[in-house]
Amino acid sequence: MGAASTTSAASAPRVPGEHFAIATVFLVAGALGLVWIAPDLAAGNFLAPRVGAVTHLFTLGWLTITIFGALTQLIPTSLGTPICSARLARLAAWALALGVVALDTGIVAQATGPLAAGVLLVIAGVLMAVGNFAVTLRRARTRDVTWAAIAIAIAYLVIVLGFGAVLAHNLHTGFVAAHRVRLTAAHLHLALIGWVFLVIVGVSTRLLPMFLMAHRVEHTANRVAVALLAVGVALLATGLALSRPVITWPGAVLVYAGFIAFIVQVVAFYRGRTRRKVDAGMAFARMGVIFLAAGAVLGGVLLVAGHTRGRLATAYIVTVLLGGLVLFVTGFSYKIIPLLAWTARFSGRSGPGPMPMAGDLFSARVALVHGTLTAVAVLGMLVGIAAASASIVADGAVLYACAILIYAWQVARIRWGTPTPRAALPTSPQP
Amino acid sequence: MSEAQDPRLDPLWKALSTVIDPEIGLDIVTLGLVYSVTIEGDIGHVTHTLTTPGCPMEHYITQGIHDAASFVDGLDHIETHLVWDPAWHSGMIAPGAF
Repeated sequence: MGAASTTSAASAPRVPGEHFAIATVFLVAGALGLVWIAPDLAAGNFLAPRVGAVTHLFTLGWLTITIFGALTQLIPTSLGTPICSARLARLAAWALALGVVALDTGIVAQATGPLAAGVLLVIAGVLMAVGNFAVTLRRARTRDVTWAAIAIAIAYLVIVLGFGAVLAHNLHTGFVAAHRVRLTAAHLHLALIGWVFLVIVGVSTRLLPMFLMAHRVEHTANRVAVALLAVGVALLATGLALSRPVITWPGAVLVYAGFIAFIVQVVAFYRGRTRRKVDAGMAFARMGVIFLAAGAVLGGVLLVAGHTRGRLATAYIVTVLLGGLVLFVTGFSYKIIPLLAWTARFSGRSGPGPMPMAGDLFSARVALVHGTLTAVAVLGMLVGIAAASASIVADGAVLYACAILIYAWQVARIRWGTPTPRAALPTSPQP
Repeated sequence: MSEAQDPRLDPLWKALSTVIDPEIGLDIVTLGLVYSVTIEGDIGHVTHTLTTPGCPMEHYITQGIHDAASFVDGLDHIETHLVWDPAWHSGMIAPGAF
């Protein structure tokens, strides 16, 4: 008689999967939007309403919804507590998604109704998600650097929301007048460093050793990075908002120090890996870090030159957002989404016989094309911005959109494609 | 019957080596995740670990052990024991696996 089996399909990871699906739609929309705003990018007109609209497709529509989805998966497994409410998480994602659509419609059409509805929906979506995560984090059994980074990041997200609401209100009232550039700079840095980058540092502490098999590598540098970034971005944003270099500069120095600590940690993970071959996801993450480093250099130049330099500021944002953050998060997506899809589709099929692996759900070669195209496209856009050439920026944007469409196809393939089952693997003799 | 002579042990080890970590692409025996396998009466005991606490594959691997063991004749059921001491490290992977 065989042993009793309690086979049951693992519960489908529906909540994070739904987040990633929604987010991918926004990523495609944002990439297509780049072609539309190419003339503004070439002119360094980063405050143009439509540039703001497209930027929010990336930051709120893709990055934030992707992070929310990833946290619904990561927190339960890594911090030892289930998400407080899966239903609230889904509701938050949909509210945020509808909010971004309404917000962008309001910004582009300069229509107060959709703008107000968008702001309210975005606020509702973000607060629902933040509340959900905050209660979950409070219950977490493990309180490590990942926990701290996520907790600090969601606090910054609420502050980002406050700045965003003020700037949205300003679109039709103009009440902040000449302070708009300063407030936008503070809003942007709180969003990209205080929210997105802090989550990246915290999550990397857990996921990079797992994906690279670098479990023996200490992660002290990431602890330092989180502390420096958390304090640094507060000072940086305060200094930018108040136009006080005496506050801005110490903040920038701390942010740089935090970024360098993160780079040190990432290099340690890559060097200490057991898996010699760097797969597509980890290659993307590495490329993303290189773009982030380039963006950090541009940010320093911008700080010295002054943020009124439109094309320099635009090149800085393009490098950090479209190069660094998109590549890094896409790299993690190439690891997380196949695992989720594999769990949903194949985990009930354990036992003897061939079985596809998570990495078999997409094409590594196509991913390489996607990554190369993305990097070339960003470099092309940067050349176009430097030359103030709308046509070169548009060419770069078209390439970028093609790269993102390839990624969307890969995501669809991961979800619905038919992978070839691997032959049974050779196994070692029993110990 | 002593554990070393139990004829069900070898099939049980072989069954466990069909449980694959879908992210790494290696089975849990080759990865060194299975620390010990014993049989008491009709019950198999599998003491194992995961590559990292909070591994997202925990449910799948534990379930996989149960499912794989269901193909072994002479066992009524399997009890899995997840342990963190000693902590798994890459030196536990079978030589030449990568």
